[in-house]
Parts: sequence; C-alpha cells; structure tokens
Amino acid sequence: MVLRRWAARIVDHKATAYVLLCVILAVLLFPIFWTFITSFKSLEETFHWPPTYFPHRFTFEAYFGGRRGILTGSPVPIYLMNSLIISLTTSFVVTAAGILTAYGLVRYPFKGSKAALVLFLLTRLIPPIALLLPFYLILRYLGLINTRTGVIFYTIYLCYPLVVWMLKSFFEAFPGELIDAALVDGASRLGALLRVVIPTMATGISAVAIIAFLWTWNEFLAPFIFINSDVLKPITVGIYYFVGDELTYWNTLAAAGVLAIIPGIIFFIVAQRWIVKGLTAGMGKM
Amino acid sequence: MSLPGLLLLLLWVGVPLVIVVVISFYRYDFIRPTKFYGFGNYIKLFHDRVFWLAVKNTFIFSLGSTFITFLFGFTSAWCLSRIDRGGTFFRTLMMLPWAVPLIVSGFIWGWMFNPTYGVINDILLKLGAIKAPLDFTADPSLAMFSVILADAWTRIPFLTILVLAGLERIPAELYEAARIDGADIFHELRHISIPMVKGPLLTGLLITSVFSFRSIDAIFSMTQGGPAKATYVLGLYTVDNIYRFLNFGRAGAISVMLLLFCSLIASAYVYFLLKEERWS
Repeated sequence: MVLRRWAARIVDHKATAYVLLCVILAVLLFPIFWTFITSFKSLEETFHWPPTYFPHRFTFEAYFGGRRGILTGSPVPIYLMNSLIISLTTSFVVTAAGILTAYGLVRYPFKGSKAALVLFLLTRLIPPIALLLPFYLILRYLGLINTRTGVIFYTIYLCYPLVVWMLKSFFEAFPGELIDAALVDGASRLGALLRVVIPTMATGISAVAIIAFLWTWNEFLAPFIFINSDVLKPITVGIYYFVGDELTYWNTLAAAGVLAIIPGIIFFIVAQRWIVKGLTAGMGKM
Repeated sequence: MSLPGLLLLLLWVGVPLVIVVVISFYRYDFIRPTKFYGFGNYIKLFHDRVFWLAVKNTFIFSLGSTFITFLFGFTSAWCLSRIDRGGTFFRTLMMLPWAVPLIVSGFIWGWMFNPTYGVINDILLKLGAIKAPLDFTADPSLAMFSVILADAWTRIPFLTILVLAGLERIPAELYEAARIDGADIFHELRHISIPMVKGPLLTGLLITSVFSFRSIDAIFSMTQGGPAKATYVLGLYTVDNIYRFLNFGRAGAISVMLLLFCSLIASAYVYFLLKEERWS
C-alpha cells in the first residue's frame, strides 16, 4: 500500500508528464535527427565505428558534391518535381470534387445520403493494396501505365473518400443561416458555396488539401508498380533505387530522405492545429 | 450537387472491387491461356505454405505495430492532456514522424539498425544493455521487431491526437469529485480516463491495425520480407504475384483474402464499439 501511494504520488506529479514527454519525444525525433546528421556527413564518416553523433567534418557534399551530390549529380530534382506534380494535381482534384460532394450531401440531404457518407468512410477500410491489381489492369486498358496521369488516377481513389468525410464534418459545423441569408440576397446555390462557405472555411479546406497532398506525396507502391521510366518517378520510388547491392551511399540516401520529409515537416509546423482538426474531424463521434 | 461525387466513388472504388473479385476466379498467369478457374486459385492458395506463413507474419506485424502505437500514443496523449505550458510546442514536435513517408521510415530505421554501422547498436552498447553488436537483419525475431518499430513510428502521432481529443473532453469536475472521494491517479486512470476515451481509442486502434495489416512500405525498404521470409507479409505476397510472378489470378485471390481479413478486424472493433454504446 505504501509503495502504491508513493507510485501514485510520482505519477501524479506535474513534472512527471513533462519528463515522460521529453523522453518520448527524444525517442520519436531521434530518427529524424539522425537522418539530418547523416546527410551532412562525408561518405567515409558514415562508415565510421562507433558512429559520430555530430559530423566531424560538416559537409554539404551529399547535396551539392558534384557527381555524387543528389541535387547536382542525380535525377533527384526530377523526382521531386514529379512528386510535386502528382501531389498538387491530386490534392486539387480531390479537394474540388470533395467540396461539391460533401457540401451537397450535408446541405441537400436525400434518402440514403447518410448511408452514402458512411460508405465514404468504409472505403477507407478497404486495403488499397488489394485494389492495386484491378487498377493496374484498368490503367493498362486505358494506356495509362508508365504515366503520371495513371498514378494520379490511383491517388485520387486513395484520398477522395476520406477528404469527403473530413469536409463533411467541417460543413456540418457551418451555420446554415449564413447560407440562407446569401440565398435570400439572390445568390445561386453554387454562388453561396463559392462566395460564402468556401471563403469562411478557407483554413479548414486548406488543411484537408494539405492532408491529401501529404498522403499522395508519401505514396510508394502505386508509382512503384505503375511507372518504369526514370524521368517519371516520384521521390519515394526514386529513393528506393539509392540502396546499392554492395555499397550504399548512406549520406546521399539520407539527404534524399531529408528532401522527401521536408514538405511534411514544414506543413505540420505551419498548420499543425488545422491538420489535426481535419484528421480527427468526425472520428471521435464514430 | 453530390450526384457526380457519388458516381466518382462508384467508379473509382466499386469497379476495381468487382474486377478484383472476378479475376480471383480466373486462371490468369500469362503462361497458359486465361480461363475461368472456379475456386482453383483459392484452393491452391490454401494449400500454399508461403500463404499461411504470410498470414501469420501479417498478424504478428499488425498486432505488434498496433501495440507499440497504443503504448506510445496513449502515454503521450495522457501526458499532453496533463501539461499546462508548451502544449502547442510539444504537440507539433509529436506530430513530425507522421510527415515521414513509410518507405523513408524503413530506410531510416534500417540504417539505424544496421548491424555494422548502426547507431542503435552503439547506443545499446553504451547503455550496457548488450555485450556485442546485434545483427538485426539476420535474426528473424529481431528483424520482425525492427520492421514493427519502423511501421509503428509513423502511426503514433495519429493515435496520440485522437486519444488526446477524447481526454480533453472529459470534464474536470469528474476528477475533482474522484479526488474528494479519495481516489489516486491509478483509480482515475482505471475508472475515468480509460473508460471515457474508449470510443476514440477503439477507433484509433481499428484504423491503426487495419492500416498496418496491409502496409508493406517499411518492410519493403528494410528487409524485403527476409531473412528467410521472416517478415514476409500478405501485402508483399500480393505485390510479388503482380510484379514478379505475373500470376494475376493468384494475386486477385490474395487481394480478396486481404479484404476479408481487414473486414473481419473492422467488424470485431465495430462490434465492441456498438456494445460500448449500448451500455453507456
């Protein structure tokens, strides 16, 4: 009993939460720290044992080292551009389509619109990997294998259902009187959506767009299977071929990793609050 | 207004779903002429040792990943709900692993677990936890453990914020009342915090387990299913059948099995969720 009382007092103490958080954060952030550190080492130093926790010789050679640097001597800039094209297009298409669908379902309900919304959530539970084969066949039939369009075709499927679900939770919280007022003032239904709803919900909508962007950016399997030519690969696939059979250039691999995680990190630091809101929207209720 | 959107869902999800089920009943392997095969693919699959090995590995992988995510996610959420200062700061940092693509996470952890140059061996040696460097890539159970870590790592933030949102909704009066009745922190956790976040927690666990069940990116970049198929999971088997063996019929059958397993997990959770709601 005494032991328990002591334990309870320690766990209950305010400082315990901070200490625990710091320990967990140290563990969670160490891999990111280590990637950054490795990317600033020279190739020889990455093969040093024991490993150095801060580069002896701080160098940018993994990034700009001529033929060996990923930005100067490898197709990584092209990979990044492909990632950007695929993610931006997907994000734009899904958000635009999602706004119309979610708004329509929330604002103009019909018999079965509730079920339709649940359907959107349920599709999220379908393992995308199980649909890889049919998508491959469809894309081959359409002649879209080995094109960025083909990958976008697939990533739309990946993001669209959940985007609708997140937007739906946002729209449900939107005061209907504002829309009614706009309609009374002579705005069309679409006009009310474009001029009243979207501007007021701009932060939430952009958070949803960011989430779709990141999901697409992080996608590996679909482009890995659908794309063979080097100039069309996104960064996630491009990075895969950095691992050599005999010698892996860990510093350049880490540098490519840094470039692959930077957009996500920036987005999370800038818009953390809204991204969190978008992702948890409607989840607690389920 | 929503009609085109619904059509989009039907086209994008419904059609592939039908195609994959249909294909699983065909012999489609680019060697012999394609023909209707009945349950042939399934029967062959059920007699396939690799398939059952993959099923076993997938369950271990998914359970392990969910457990680690739960452990870290719940603890972080509980801590975050109890601090008054620096909440935004801690929360933002907590989110960062989420931004890392799983395939990259596999590389990062693979590099840290590297048996000859890896930093984890060095840390463990310095802490005195091990006497000699461990070979994480050669030992089957260590390999499984390391891919689980790489997978769980990117999933922790999601569970954290989900549970945190639940914890923050619990009225402070409940705790105060409990304190007056002489409850300590363990009573509170057992009788207030955990029961009150059961909904979000179960939702989070459902999503984590279903997602890790079919996730292969981290395994792909870390072990490629090795050593000796110790980390070979169903998703990997599907991709191999599409990409390497070009046996589309079998890939279809595995895909359908994956679908069934995921629905099974999902329905178990939904059952618990509904039961929860009826009682409360």
